[in-house]
Amino acid sequence: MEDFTKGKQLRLVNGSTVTVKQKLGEGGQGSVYAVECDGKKYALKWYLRSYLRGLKSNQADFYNNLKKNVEDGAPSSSFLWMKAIAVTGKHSKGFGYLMDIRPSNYCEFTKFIKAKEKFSSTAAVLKAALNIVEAFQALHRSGKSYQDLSPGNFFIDKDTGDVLICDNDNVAPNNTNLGVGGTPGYMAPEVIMGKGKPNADTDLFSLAVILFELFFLSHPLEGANCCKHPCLTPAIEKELYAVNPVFVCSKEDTSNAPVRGTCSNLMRLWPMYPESMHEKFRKAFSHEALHNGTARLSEKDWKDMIYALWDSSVECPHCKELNFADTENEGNMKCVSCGRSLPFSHALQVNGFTIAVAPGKTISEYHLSYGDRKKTIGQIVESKKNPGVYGLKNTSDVVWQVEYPEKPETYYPTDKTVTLIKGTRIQIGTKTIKII
Amino acid sequence: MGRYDENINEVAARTMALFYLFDKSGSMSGTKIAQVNYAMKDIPKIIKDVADSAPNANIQVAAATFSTNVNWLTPKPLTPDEFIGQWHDIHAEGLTSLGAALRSLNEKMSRKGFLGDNPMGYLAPGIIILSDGAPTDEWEKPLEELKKNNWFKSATKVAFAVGDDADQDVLAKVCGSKEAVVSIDDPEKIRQYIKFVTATVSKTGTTSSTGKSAQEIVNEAIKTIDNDTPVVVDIPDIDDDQW
Repeated sequence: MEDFTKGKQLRLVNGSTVTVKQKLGEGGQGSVYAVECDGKKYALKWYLRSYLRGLKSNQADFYNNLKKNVEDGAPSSSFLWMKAIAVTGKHSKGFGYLMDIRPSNYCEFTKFIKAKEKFSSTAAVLKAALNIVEAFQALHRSGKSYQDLSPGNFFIDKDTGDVLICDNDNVAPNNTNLGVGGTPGYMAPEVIMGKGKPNADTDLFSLAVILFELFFLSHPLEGANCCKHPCLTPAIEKELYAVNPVFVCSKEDTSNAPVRGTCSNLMRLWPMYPESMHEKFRKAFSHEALHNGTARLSEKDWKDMIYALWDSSVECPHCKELNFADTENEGNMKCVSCGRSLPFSHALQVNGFTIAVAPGKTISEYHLSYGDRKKTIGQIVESKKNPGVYGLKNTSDVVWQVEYPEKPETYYPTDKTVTLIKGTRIQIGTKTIKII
Repeated sequence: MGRYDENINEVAARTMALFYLFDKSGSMSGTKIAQVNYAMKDIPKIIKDVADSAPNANIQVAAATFSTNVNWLTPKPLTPDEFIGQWHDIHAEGLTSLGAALRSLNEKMSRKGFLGDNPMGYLAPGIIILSDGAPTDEWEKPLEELKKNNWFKSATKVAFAVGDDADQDVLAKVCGSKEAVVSIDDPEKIRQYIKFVTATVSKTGTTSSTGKSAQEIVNEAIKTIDNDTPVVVDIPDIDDDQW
């Protein structure tokens, strides 16, 4: 348990040498040091021997899995991945791994939950949510599972929503578990009950909790039921999170409803998001999804929810806050933040999607054919001559057939802009965009 | 102004209270007490690190010394930041009134005492005791009473027995098992051990979970606290002596 002192040299398995500069911190698994390797700065995570011994027969598997993760590389750039394994020497007294140093613009997600750090905008929250979902989609597609998702492993840039996922030590091929159980509050009920080991399905449970906390800064299963107990004993914990978990915003069972004081952030933020999103979370924490691993929302489901939020968003021209439009309140929508009127009057409907008209927003192949959202086919622009009048600019490479109300069919090639008038229909291939 | 602006409040999180009971009897003077003082200056940083990465938990610290009398150094459990300002070096003198310390702990581990005002409730507490002698007062009855305390029952307990004169059996009875007693032969190691156990107890109590009880995890960790035998894994041979 002796710390490495400044100047201590360690050998990497790939042959390089690292020099210890300074100890950065320590946790239950090990310590983290700032080190230098070939003139570059890195972080070194060094396992406590007591931790490694605690793994018992899994010790060699744990090491080999770490080695495999180094070889496989990061599933996406959102992971602060292990780059090389470090050992002290022959008959090693232990090992650790090298990773990049976390840039200072990233802050622990736990600090956001504890209101010690704040997101600079709702847009940053949406971006962070998408980054997290995409990172886990990439991880799961690579055939691996994370197994110990908790806010302690996420670092977020409060302005851009960029995400770094750390502590990837337990990432292993799906359905291979090297001993980790998870973090209370984030473990799937079947893991707490001892009925299953962490895997990709249990990751999806934890992901739902993480996303709920990201949007509402509150825990989805911690409401009135949690405030009844002065001391959270293991038996009570099991009851609240595994035997009888109840979603705080459940419509059917209100026994665990939010409590003023402990759930004040949830009570403030929940009404600011649209019903369609509420429904997604109610589904994610329904009795069925809580107890049945295969009934959980997938990364695609979450991406659809986040995209739907973007599509319905209208930026307030006064305070720049994002508002989520509902076609029912067209014409008299007020900003949730500053209370002033919003210029929301039209929406585009295509292929089951609804996009609130606001400058800068786009229609992409995602809307036409569930394709790539980055491949835009049309962009909403505001008239330079007549502010408040919006058009959809054809940024695709096909000609659009446009039918204005009571006018003959007109053709709009690339770069031409269709004026958005209610009742207009834009035909693009086999799909029709309706202006409502 | 926006959704995530100043209207977002820090909400009540569950709190883990970490209780320290330090023997400051006359025999503790010199290196032993200096090591305790030294360790307690590092404790807030360790606890803060653990608490920062714990999603829905805070950690607070309460500390008392016992010699002829019991003296709480904290008026209530304090956050790591508050604790920095509150800690004053302790000086060794007097007897080893462990019984009085246990009685006082029993009083403080109650809703009327130190564990009353958190709306979200508390996590199971941690108790860390350090002593270098045998109790000089009646301790069996106070321990019997303390063992009826539900907070105490669910607490993770670790005791440090410093030197040959420490009564390991008594400390084992307080902690519930011999496994939870760490014997320290070299006083120079006190600081290191207090830090290690603080990190382990607070981390185990607030975050990680492997299906075992917190006490089991902590007991396993302290069993290997000073075990320097190599960790055997199939890793390439590298000559340690080449540096």
